[in-house]
Amino acid sequence: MFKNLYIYRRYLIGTFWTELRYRYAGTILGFFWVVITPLLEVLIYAVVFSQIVSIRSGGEKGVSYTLFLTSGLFPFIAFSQSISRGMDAIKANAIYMRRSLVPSEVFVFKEVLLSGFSFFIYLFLLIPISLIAGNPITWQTLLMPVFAVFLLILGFGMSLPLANLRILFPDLGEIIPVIMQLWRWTLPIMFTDKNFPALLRRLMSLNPPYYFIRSFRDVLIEHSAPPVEAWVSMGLWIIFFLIIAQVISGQLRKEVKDLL
Amino acid sequence: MTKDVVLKVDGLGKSFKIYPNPVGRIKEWLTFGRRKYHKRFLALENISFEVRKGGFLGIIGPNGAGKSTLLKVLTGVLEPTSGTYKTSGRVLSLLELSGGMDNDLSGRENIIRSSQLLGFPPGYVEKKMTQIEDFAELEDFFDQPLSVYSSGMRIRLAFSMFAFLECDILILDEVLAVGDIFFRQKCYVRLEELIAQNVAIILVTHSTGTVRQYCDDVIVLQNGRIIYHGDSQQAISKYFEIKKDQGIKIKVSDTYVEEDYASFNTISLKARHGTLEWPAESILEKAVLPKKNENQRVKLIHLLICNEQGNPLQAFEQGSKAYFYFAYQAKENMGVPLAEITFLTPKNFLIHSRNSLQLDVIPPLKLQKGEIVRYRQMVKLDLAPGNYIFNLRLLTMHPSDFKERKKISSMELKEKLITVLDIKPAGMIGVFQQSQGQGIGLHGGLCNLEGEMHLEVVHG
Repeated sequence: MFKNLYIYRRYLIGTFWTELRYRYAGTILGFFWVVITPLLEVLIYAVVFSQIVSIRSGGEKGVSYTLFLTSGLFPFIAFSQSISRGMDAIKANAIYMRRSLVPSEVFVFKEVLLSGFSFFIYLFLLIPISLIAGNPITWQTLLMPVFAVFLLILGFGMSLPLANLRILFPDLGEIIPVIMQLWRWTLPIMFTDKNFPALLRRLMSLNPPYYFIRSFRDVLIEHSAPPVEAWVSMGLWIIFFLIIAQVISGQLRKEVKDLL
Repeated sequence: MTKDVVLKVDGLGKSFKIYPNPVGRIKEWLTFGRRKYHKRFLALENISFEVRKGGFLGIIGPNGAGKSTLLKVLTGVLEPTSGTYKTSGRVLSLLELSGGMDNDLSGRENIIRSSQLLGFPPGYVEKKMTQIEDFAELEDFFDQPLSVYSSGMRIRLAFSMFAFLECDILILDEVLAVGDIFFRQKCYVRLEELIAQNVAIILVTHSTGTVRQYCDDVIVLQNGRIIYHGDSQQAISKYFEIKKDQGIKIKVSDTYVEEDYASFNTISLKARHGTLEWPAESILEKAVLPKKNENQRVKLIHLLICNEQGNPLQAFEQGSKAYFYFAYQAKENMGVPLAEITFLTPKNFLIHSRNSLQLDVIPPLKLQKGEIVRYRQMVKLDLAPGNYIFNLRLLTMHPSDFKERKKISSMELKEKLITVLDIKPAGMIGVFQQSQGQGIGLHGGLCNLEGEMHLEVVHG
């Protein structure tokens, strides 16, 4: 899998840049479109939860709900983008796969890279939001790109098997977006789990992206590096899903090609 | 593998699993494949052949014969289910030409991208760029995005690129069937240069003219199997046999047995006007009639095309004589029985038509209900190599009009002709290049008009 990515690295980077260039150069507002959707989402949640339902971010350090929400929602949006785009990659690039030897993981990886690009824009946006909310930026913030990369690798590990399975089972294309919508409610993004019972928190932390999302908050809001258990959990999930990806895409490679 | 062989295919087979629905696949997975829910579709079966350095292999066959699947396997896009193939050196393939190019990028950028995709080192294609640019003749379009290209331009671009990338085996799929004739010709010149450089070429095509002209070795594929492998002339005949079985239904048996011909000599018939040479029933029976062969007035009962020797054929050498035998039965009393055969190109361009009046035959003036008329019409096929469609029209006219036929104008005569049954298409015939005309060909264009040329040098 990684060997293939290395062999096709030039093609990968080449298509990555051209797609970036043409995806945004063709629109009037360009990069603005990348941030408009997540900002709108943040606005809606912020209004609904802080004004109407009145959930607080746990109150610690007086950090505003908006910053709390943004620091969790932005990474999750980027993560779910990487999955939804990654899982469409084989289908969308079927025309290339039918006539060339480029392996499917290259196309999936390219889509994950592209969502990685928006991810980094979101991270930059977090800085002014944080400052406006009165939260100082410390050196721990530098860890955010590291978690972003981790989260993207997780996204790659999840979307590669999905992209393969989706060719065999077209229904997945409809099911997964629904699951992605529901998934965000199983994570402490819009709310905090600080006051939840210990057992429930334990259960929630078994959710693969749990520690990834939490780590962003740890460094941005708590100004502390995540605890060891967070690093271990992230590492294990990444390894687990990469193995799954390797096995499934290897097993299905032939059958998927026959069906394209 | 001997030194000269660049591609060796041995017992290659490819089958696809076909599930009735995705649920079947899940069920099969859940039983770990112990219960089968799929059917196997055999796309290729036991394919074996070799290609040598500088060889030009043609692969022909009807649609769905497995040509594209074979190419995909050879390029490594699909994995064979059985058998092996060995290649030595770099294989380039123009599969699904221009389909994989990026619309946002310019021609130049696409070439760079594609060469990366094909695994050429960076900077390699840039060195060849001027050659490619010159060959493609795209002028300013070369640096414009592909979205403004016409389909012909895309093909120019793709072929130009492949023609200049170094490789040992070049696989072309129906490339040269498109594009304008001047460019196509240039492509062939380039292919010949490549062959001279010891590049082996595999060409998949429907153009029998191309195959005949260029390929020294031809494979005819049908239903995933090689049904013929050998020289081009034989291959084309085989190909036409398949085609006539498939497309327009005029079926002649696949194997002609000698004794069939023995009975096909001059058979005396109790015809009302002289004696007509007529094929034996055993041969006629094998011919399948066109779909539309009957109405309330007449019924076509035979239609067969033979060569001069009396062998039923579907493909003829340029300039040879084709004999159309047909017979029909009158279902009601009618006037003078007349007939007309028309030849058209596949693009419906009328080439030639001739009827009984033009051939000045003397038919009976009346036809009684139940009587059968037999015809033999000879046509000398002085035509360019290619496929032609023919129509058969059965006509009649009033006996008194017929007697006056030489006195009235052709316009009036046309109005007196009554169509009884118009069979279009009645069938298809292929014309292949005459062996002596190899290379430059006998003539250009559709028709071989008789001509001469003399010259002398005069000292001034």
